Amino acid sequence: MPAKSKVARIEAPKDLLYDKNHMWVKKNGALFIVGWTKTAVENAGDVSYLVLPKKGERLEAGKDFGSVETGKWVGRFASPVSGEVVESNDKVVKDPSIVNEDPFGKGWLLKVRAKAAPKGLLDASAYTKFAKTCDK
Amino acid sequence: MASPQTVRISLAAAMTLGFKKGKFYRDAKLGCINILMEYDKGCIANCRYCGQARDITDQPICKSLIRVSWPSYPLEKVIAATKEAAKRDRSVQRVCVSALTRKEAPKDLVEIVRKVQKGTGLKVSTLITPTVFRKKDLEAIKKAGAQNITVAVDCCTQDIFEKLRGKGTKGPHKWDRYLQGIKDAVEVMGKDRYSVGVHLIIGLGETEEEAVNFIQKCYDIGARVHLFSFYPEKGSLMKNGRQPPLDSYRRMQLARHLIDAGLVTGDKMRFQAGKLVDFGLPEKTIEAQMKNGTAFITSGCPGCNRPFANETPSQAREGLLRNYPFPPNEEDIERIEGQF
Repeated sequence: MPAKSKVARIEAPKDLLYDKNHMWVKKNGALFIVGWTKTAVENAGDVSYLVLPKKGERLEAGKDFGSVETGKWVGRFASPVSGEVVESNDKVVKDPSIVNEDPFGKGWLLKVRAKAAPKGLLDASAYTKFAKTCDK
Repeated sequence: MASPQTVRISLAAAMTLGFKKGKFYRDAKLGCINILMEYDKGCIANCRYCGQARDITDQPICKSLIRVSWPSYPLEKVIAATKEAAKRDRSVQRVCVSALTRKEAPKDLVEIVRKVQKGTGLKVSTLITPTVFRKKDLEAIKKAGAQNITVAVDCCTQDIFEKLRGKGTKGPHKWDRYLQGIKDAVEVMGKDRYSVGVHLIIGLGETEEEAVNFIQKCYDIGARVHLFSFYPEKGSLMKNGRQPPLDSYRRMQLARHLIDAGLVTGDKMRFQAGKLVDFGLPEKTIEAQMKNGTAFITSGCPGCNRPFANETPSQAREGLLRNYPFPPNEEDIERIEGQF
């Protein structure tokens, strides 16, 4: 995960929850949609290559999954939620630029079925404060 | 717009100057701001491995070169940002200006060098093509304040050169002109250790013996070799090519380093079926040089480190880093030893 943000203005939609690994989560019925925040995406650069877990794979909150590469950097995502992957976003794998263009929308990464709601997540206001501290 | 008013800079340079967002794997720092000239009609050469080849671009768009995009900016903006970047980050030590093959390039490159040197106060290197740069142009480059002239020969034999850059591609480049270009550069710049460079790409179809012979030839002339590992450039005529085997590249790095350090000459090295099997030095010396790690750091002008230019960051994470943009740590050295 990016350690420092160089982004001047933090964007964090209010209908999402966040963790300190700069991942966002949106509850959608029984599923949780997971993505990467704009702060993290911009800090990393233009995404050129993505690897996401396949349907049926299990994720554990706080543990790494997948891989993301930009022009000069590579890293892994950390899952904000424990559960089973029910869908990976094939479109962003085929065209990773979508993650840069629309990280909170079409750039979502996974849909996960979790038995319990993820704990310790931040609301938009708390995440914004946190992300600003990363900027220092 | 075209050079000298505007120039392209590498993605790494654009990130370092704050024009593009992004960061470097392992917190690598860029040591040299790479500038590439640009023209409305692009490069007239047609090198098969290059993302700027005439057949695939024939336009000013630089989709990919050395694996990444090269955005365009006004030269004055690049100069101002470089000066600021060098003030806040001591890693930025140098600017390198690379020419395209066009008849107007020599005059424009001289102007860019003069402005960059004056505007940044940094050391300036140049990468030229002898096809359009003659000795008088090299003299003008020196007079403009350049500290180094590097000739991008890229191929180590005449056959490979002709096939990939010359007649085989209906391109304008000629092997003899390039060799003469190195000699001219040495005459103009002198035999000072850092004054003249030669770019050599490993993995274009040569044997290790051919590469070592060429490296030695360059040192005999008075130039240092800057080593690159072939990477199949997206969109280039060699986009389906393969990177050279890592063990072979490591041998070439070590051979170049040993010659560069004056520890041995190429004629003392032994080969079997073109493969380097003996560096011509005692095993203890070889071991010490490998442990030292300098051989595997990016070779080039002082400060030039080209982070992740010859491999993807993912390959770097897998331990397949070709040119280390920083001194390799103990773990890296252990991995490198295993790669031999």
